[in-house]
Amino acid sequence: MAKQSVMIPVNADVLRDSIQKRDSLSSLEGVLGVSRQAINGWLSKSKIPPRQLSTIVRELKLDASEVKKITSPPKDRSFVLFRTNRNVAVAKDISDDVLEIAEDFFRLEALTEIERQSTNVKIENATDPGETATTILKNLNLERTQISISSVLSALTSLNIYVLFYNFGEGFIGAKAQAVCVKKAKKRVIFINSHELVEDVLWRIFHELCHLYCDHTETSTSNEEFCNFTATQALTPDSFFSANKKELKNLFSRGVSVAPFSIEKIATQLSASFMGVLLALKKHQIVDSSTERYLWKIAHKRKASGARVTDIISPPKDVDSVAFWLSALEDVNRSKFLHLQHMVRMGLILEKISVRRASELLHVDELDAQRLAKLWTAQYEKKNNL
Amino acid sequence: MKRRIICDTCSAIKLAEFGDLLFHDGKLTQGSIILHPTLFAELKKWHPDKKKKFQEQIQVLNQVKAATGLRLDRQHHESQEVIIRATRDALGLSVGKGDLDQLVSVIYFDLDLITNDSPLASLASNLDVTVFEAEEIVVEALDQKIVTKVAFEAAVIAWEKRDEKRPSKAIIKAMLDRGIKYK
Repeated sequence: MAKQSVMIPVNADVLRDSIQKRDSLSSLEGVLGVSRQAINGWLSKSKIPPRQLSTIVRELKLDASEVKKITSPPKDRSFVLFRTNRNVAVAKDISDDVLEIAEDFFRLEALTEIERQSTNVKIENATDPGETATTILKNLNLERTQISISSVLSALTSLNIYVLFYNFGEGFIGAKAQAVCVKKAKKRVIFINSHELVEDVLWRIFHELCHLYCDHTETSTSNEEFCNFTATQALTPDSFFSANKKELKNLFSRGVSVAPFSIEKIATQLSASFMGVLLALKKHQIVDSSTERYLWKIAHKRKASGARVTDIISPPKDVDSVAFWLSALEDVNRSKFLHLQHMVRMGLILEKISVRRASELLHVDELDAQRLAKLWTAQYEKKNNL
Repeated sequence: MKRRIICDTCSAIKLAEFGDLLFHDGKLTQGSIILHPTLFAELKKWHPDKKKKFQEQIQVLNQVKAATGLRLDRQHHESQEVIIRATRDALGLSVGKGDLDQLVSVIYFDLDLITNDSPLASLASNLDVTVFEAEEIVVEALDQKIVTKVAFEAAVIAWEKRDEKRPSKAIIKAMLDRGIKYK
C-alpha cells in the first residue's frame, strides 16, 4: 500500500524541554538511529515523523498530558453545548463522542473542495428574544413566510453552518439530549438527535442557532431559557398572535373537535410544531381551559406517535441496511437529512474514512460498511468514467 | 518472526474461507496470524441472518480464539494514542477510537497488521507498522503450497459474490501472475 510520508506538527519548545529534562539529544541518537543534526532539524522545523516521536515518548516515559502539549496546536475556542430535557447534564464521554463526530464531519466536508466564506455569526449582548429571532432570520435572508426545513438548511449551509441528523443511540436518548451545537475555530455544526419529531426540528435548529449567534460557550439555565424564547419567537412570534388574536379566538370558539385541525393549519402556516402553536395560544389566552386540556391530550398523543427523523434516516428493522443506504442517499426527500452520511460515502469512495468508523457513523456492521464502500466506489467510477 | 494481527471482521472472514489452515501457529513463514479480541465483539453484534450466512467462517474464528496479552498500561496507551491521533489529523483521515485503540496495541507489541482498509493501512504504515492485505497472505500461502490454486480460486469467487472489497492493484497482479483468475 502506498505510504504517504507525513510529519506531525509539534511545539518544538515543549519537546526540547521534555528531552532536556530527562535526557540529552545525543543519548537519543542511538535510540532513534538518527544523527543529532536530524533531531535538531525536526526541532527547527517543528515537525517530526510520528514513529520517531512515538519512540521518544516511550524512551522518555512521557505521559499523555505532556504528549498533548507537544502535539497540540494553539487552543481554539471550541465548545459543545447540549440541549437536554430539563437541562440534564451530559457525561463527558458523550460530549467527547459528539466532538469526535463533528471533527470527522469537518475533515470529510473538506474533501468536497467547496470553499465557503465564513460569515460573521454573532449578536452582541442579546437581551430580547424577539429581536434576536428577527436578526437571525435577517442574517439567513429568510422572510418568516419562507421558513421550512429545506430553506433553513440551505441558508445555513451558505453561512458555513451545518445541521446534521444523527442517531446517537440509546445512551444519548437516555440522557434526554435533543440537540447539540459544536463550534470549533470558525466551523460550526448543529446536531439534531434523530429520535426527535420531524415537526420539532426547526425549533431545535433555532434554539441551537441562538447559542451560536450569541456565542454561548457554556450551558446555563439563563442561556437555555433565552434560546428557548428566541426559537419560539422565530416560529410562533408574539406579533402574529397579538395581531390576529380576535380572528384566532373566533376560530377556536367553533368547538373542541375542530380545534386540532385549526392548530395544524396555523402550524403549517408558521412552519411550527403543534405543541409550539398550542403554547403560543395558551400564552396569548386564545383558547379556553377545557379546549386547552383537550388539545394537550392530542399534543401528547402526537408526540408519542408522530413521524421522527429516525424514520427517515435509519434503515427499518429487517431491511437490508446496504440496500437502504444505497437508495436513501439517492432519495431527494431524505437527502437534506443525510448530509453527514453523504460525507461518509464520499470518505469511503476517496478512502479517507476507515471502514470501522464508517460502520459506526452509518450504524451498520463492518462487513456491510465494506460492501457499501465497494458498491459506492463502483458507482462513482462508472459515473465519472474512471 | 513478527506476529501478524487481524483487527477487522472483513479480513478475518476472508481468510477463514480456507478453514483454520492459515491460522496455524508457525505455518506461514513470514509470521503467524492472530486475532484481536475486539473482532469477536463485532461478530457478536451481527444480525442472526448474517451469523447464519457466515457460520462456517465464524466457527473457524471461534476455534482460533482471540489473542491474549494485548493489554498495556493506561498511561502508555494514552500517550501513544495522542501520537496516533496527531498522525491521523496530519493525514486528514477519519479513523475512529476503536481503530486507534487497536493500533496502540499493534505498535506497542510490535506486530504487523493485516487489513484491506486503506485509511487504516495508511495511518499504520506512517507509524512504521508493516501492513499486509488479506489476499497477500493467501498469495504467500499459495507460494508456500499451504493452499492450492483451486482453493484460492474458489475463495475469490466466494469473495466476489459477497461484494467484498477488492485488494490493491499490486495484489491483483500478484494473483494474476500466479494464474489466479480475478475479474
